[in-house]
Amino acid sequence: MKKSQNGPVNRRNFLKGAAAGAAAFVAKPAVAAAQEQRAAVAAAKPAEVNGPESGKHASDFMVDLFKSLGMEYMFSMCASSFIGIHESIINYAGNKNPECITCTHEEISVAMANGYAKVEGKPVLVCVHGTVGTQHAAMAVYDAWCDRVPIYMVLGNTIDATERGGEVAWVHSAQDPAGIIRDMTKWDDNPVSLAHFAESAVRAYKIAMTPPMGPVAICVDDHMQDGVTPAGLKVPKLAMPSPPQGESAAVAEAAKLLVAAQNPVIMTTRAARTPEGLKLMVELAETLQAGVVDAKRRMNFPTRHPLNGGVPNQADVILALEAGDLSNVTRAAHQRGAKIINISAGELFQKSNYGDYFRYAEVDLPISGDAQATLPSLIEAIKREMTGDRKAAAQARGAKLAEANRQNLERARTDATYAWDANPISTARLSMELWDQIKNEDWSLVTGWVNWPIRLWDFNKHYQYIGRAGGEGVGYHAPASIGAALANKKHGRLTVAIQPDGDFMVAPGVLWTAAHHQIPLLMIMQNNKAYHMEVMYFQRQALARNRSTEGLKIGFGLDKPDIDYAAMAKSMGVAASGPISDPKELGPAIRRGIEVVKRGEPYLIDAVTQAR
Amino acid sequence: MKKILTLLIFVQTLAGQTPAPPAAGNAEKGKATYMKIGCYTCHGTMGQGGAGARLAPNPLAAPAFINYVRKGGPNHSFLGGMPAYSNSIISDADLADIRAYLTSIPAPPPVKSIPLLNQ
Repeated sequence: MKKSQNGPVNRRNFLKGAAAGAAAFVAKPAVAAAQEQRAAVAAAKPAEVNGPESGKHASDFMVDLFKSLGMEYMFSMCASSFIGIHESIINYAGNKNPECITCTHEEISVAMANGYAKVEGKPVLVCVHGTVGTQHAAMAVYDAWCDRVPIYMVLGNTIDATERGGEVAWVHSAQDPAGIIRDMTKWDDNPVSLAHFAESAVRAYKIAMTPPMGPVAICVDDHMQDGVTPAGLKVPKLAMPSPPQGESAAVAEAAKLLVAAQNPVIMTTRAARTPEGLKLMVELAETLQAGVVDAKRRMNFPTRHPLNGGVPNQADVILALEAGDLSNVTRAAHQRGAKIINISAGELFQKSNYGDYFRYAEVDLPISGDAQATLPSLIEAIKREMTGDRKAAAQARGAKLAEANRQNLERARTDATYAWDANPISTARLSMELWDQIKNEDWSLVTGWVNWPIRLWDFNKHYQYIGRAGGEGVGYHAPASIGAALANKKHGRLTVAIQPDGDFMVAPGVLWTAAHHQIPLLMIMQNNKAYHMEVMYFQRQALARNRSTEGLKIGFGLDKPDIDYAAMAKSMGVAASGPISDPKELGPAIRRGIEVVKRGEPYLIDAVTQAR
Repeated sequence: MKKILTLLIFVQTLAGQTPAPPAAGNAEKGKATYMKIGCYTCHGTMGQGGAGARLAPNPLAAPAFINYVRKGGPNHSFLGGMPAYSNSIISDADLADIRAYLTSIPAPPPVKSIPLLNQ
């Protein structure tokens, strides 16, 4: 932490000098004047402007660390507390790996990193500024925590109280910045040397990426960034641990239960962490000929696969794989004598304060381990248990499920015909106008709460769907979509989003980021002019008190004036059209939008829609 | 998926499969009331359903329709079921108007006539 007396130009000394100069114009006590005189002498010492006397700048070494971790981007709202890293990315790394992506809010930075990680399977670097930036980021960190998404954060800070240059620096600094988000991170550290920072930077990556994944945070002192890299300091080696698997005897017992079952059902929320996980889920279902009930927090199972679906309340054995709240399922299962197997890494790492562990579920065979990592051994164990008669029973079961699946698709198509020509546009019509024009492309839908696409589209690749906000925080979708679109960009995929209007209004500045960095995304605003979920809660509350529901727009509506989303987009450099409430106009607008997106730019369509 | 399946069953039940008797009520007034008290938030502006059940074009017969609104429905999603509307919130006459509006909504086109739904 010690700095050369003749070290490089120091921002804090510069500020001290300026403060001393300003102070000369006011009367001051003798002691204060003496202190300022000493400060002025220190500030007057010659400064080295071209670089450290030996070695490289500490923040250059930090960038070497981030490169070694495969960081393609730094998402940040610029700030003084990590300006050393920022400058090193520009002038030392040539703004490449990582490349700076300018965000207009720290919640945007982290939510973009969330969307990116769910497509690309790895984190980006997110830098945030001390107390204020970390608090802005907190909501998006919580979403990532609940959603088991690896987020890699560097929190800028000025730890040395004597180096905090003025009131702003003081209120932006903290003794323990990571404490703000500690309950929603897997790990954090506050390194006191560059060597310490190096080890913690690599350790943080390993922890974030080891299932169950989650956010991590490393505090970085701005003084440390200005230092010199000690001779001999190396980037620590990174070797990723294999993910934890279920214990072999328990896996064998699970296989026996599943093969013996008359009607096994698989339930999952986040089993498929990677494309390989999706393949394994298909192999598991086909080996067992069991239906898969996919809560779709990840792309766990193809929507048009004959085994997609199932009725847990009719199952005699339920296999839960990284599932969510199982308490209701287990209660119902035990009433009819059914068994529950749960394979999850959830209990390997959990914190107390937030309720993302749900109500206690009375599972019969709990297996702690990452579901995806356990699937190969489970599939093999099931194959070993499969006798001829069990195979025949499984095939008969699979045929029934396939027929039920076919009927579900037909029912969904019939349901979609209702209000097909409605104005405002039905959400089914919107979904199918979009599907019509992307179905032959290499597409990726990167927003959640999209019931019609899940019912009607053919999802079969892992990147085609990334779930929704883990903590259900409003404001996730727009930035996460743009982060996901950035990840899709290098793969040449067509990224589309059906964007809730209320969610968009939390952080609309992300559109400027998309325009500035030419991130191609077709965003269709689902403009229903209200926070409709809350409207429905209001109606329930009023009726429970036998009072009127006519005030349903008060405090819930997003109208009077209507928000002109196309104008908003254009003001930030994003081409746009709308508002469109006639469904016949939607198809041509989508066609125009796709042309723009294929040129590598974002496009927004403001579609005025039904509530749901 | 469980919620969706349950909702589908619920939707089928409410929409009914048999034609309703001729509406006794004012469809135009019914539409205005339907929008004013917020039926559309769950059921859609054309009664097509959404968070709530499909209601049009063949709503329950008038007595059953009124009875259902008065008593409310079973839980079918995380939002709960249809909340109960008492007589002081909405009168039988208003409900008859709403039912007339729902009955006036044309039947949807068949799936086969919509190319976008055949792919």
